[in-house]
Amino acid sequence: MNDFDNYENAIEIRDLTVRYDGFTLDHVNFDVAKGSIMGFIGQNGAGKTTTIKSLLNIIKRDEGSIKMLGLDNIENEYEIKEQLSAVFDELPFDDQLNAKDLNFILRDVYREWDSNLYKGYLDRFGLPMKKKFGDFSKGMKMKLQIAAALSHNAKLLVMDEATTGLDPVVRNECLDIFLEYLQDESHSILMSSHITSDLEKVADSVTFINKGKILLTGYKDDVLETHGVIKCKKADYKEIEPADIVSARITDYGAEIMVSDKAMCRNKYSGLALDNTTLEEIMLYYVNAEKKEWS
Amino acid sequence: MRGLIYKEFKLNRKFYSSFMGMAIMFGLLGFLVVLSSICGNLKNFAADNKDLFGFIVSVLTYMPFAMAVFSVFGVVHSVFSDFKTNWTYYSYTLPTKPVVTVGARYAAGTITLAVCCIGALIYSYVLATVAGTKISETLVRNLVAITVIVFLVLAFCLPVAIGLKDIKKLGLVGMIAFIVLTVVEGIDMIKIVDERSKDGTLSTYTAEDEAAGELMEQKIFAVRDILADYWFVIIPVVLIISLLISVKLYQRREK
Amino acid sequence: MDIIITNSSDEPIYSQITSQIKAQIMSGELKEGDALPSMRTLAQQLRISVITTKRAYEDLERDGYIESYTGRGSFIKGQNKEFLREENLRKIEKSLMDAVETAKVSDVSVDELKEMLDLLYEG
Repeated sequence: MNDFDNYENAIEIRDLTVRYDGFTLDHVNFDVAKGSIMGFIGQNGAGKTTTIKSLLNIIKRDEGSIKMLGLDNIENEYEIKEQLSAVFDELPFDDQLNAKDLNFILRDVYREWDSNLYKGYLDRFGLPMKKKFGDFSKGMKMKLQIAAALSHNAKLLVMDEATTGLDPVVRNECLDIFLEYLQDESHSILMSSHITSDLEKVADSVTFINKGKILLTGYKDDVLETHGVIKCKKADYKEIEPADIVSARITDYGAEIMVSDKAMCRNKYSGLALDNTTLEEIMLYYVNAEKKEWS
Repeated sequence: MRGLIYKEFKLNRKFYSSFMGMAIMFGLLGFLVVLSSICGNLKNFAADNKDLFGFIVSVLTYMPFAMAVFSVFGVVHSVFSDFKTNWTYYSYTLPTKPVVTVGARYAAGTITLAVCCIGALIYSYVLATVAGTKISETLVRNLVAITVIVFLVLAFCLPVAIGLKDIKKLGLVGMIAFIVLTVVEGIDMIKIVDERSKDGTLSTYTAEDEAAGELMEQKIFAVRDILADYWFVIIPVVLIISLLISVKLYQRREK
Repeated sequence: MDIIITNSSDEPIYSQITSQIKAQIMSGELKEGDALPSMRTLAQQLRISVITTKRAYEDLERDGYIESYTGRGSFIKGQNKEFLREENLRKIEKSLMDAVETAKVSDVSVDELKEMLDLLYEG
């Protein structure tokens, strides 16, 4: 048990670098503050899973340091894992097993496993004890993972595309459960997803990753407030300084330009329409900043 | 480790039930044969051919034992199915030390093997008692020796499976091994056939062959004796070596 | 206490929360000593980030509307009458400013405006 509960960040990643043939996770830096939920956004193949695998020490990193719950993630690997739960997009348990089996298995694995708590969650989520996982629906499978994740006093939840395959109703139910989990200030969540609408609602902070590099990291509110999209005529587009532009989309009918300092641009280009934006748009414009078809 | 061992048994239930089931069937069959030797159709035959009948009783033990022993390899099969279901990935996020995760498989396999062995011994004792004889010592030694051999095979297969993780890789390795072995055997065979066709001895069973056969038999018995006498040394040593290799392979971080 | 936030407004969410709470204090719906929900609970209920509610509460505290005590929560601060009057005066001035500008655009004279004001005040 981590007796020193006085760490500030649930996760601290510094200069994380992992080199593959043809893909490099390049000097990734970001923090997940204690008591918060961090939305880790990026396309498939952008490096989210590689980052998470490095966190969990499933792959070896080439450079950098990672601290979780105030402890080094390699030196104190097992101590961290007692207080950590990973949730994946697919249920990692064999179809033949059932919830009762899982209780028997995990009881032995986690020091603080609480069978009553686990059964309580199963009841609450309407999950039968003796039904084989092969007969569970997708929503049930996710809720089962969550039940297991919350039953051993975990301080950190790491979720890799956990809500991706779920229908909106179940997704919302899960989001509510995560918010409830966060009511305890010592709990934190790192959630990787490319479904930005979920993160738009509940994330406290967001980190964008693309092609192995971090594009942006900060409070979600700030990111949404400081970014905006200017919509104007192609002629007006030339008036905008390149330094202010994240990237732009020019069509036959006009131009849409993302800017990263909405307040300043509002004054500077006061004649032009400046819209609020969404996390999804931000992701799109940043990703396309590198592509040539958008200029 | 209890929980993980339980998982091995639960996951491989089908494996176990089919092989153990066949073992039990053969066992019952054997039991019926012995019963009928004392009070049924075979009574006279058994009385007249004591030696042959003793031999048959031994064989009756080997059959169910051989069947049962296959179920030990469920733990090898589960390495691959675990990889497929992503359990392996999940187990990396658990606070269990690798030696425990891997050790659970060895424990499950060894327990199964022990059950098979002890079960076979009990069974042969029962058969012998019913048939009115004692168990032959050869039978016991043979059973122990086979148990050790199965254990050696398990100790070989587990590290290989854990190192490969993915059954597709195993298929590839297996294919390569098969091709290599076939080629080697083939070359050997061709040499022998060549020699023999020159001598003209291709189709005869010479005294040489007989002597070679006897030598082979002696060698087998010698090995059997070593295994049967020193199983309590061989098994732990092999277990530890295999376990250490498996743990190393399990810990090998992907990249 | 009702808090209604909308995504369709230009106003950032934390600002919507502060305005609504301020309004409820002014109108007397929220009285001195009333307890506000914790930042986390409010965030959970409204399905927004706790950073947002934290900011709203910090702004309210900075402006003297609430007091926060670690471990106990946040409570409505007693508003003295002077302060309330000043706030309301400021609001009135702003509304009048709007009226004046609109009047100028449509060529409505200051006398017409005064007439309208008299009528409205009585009615």
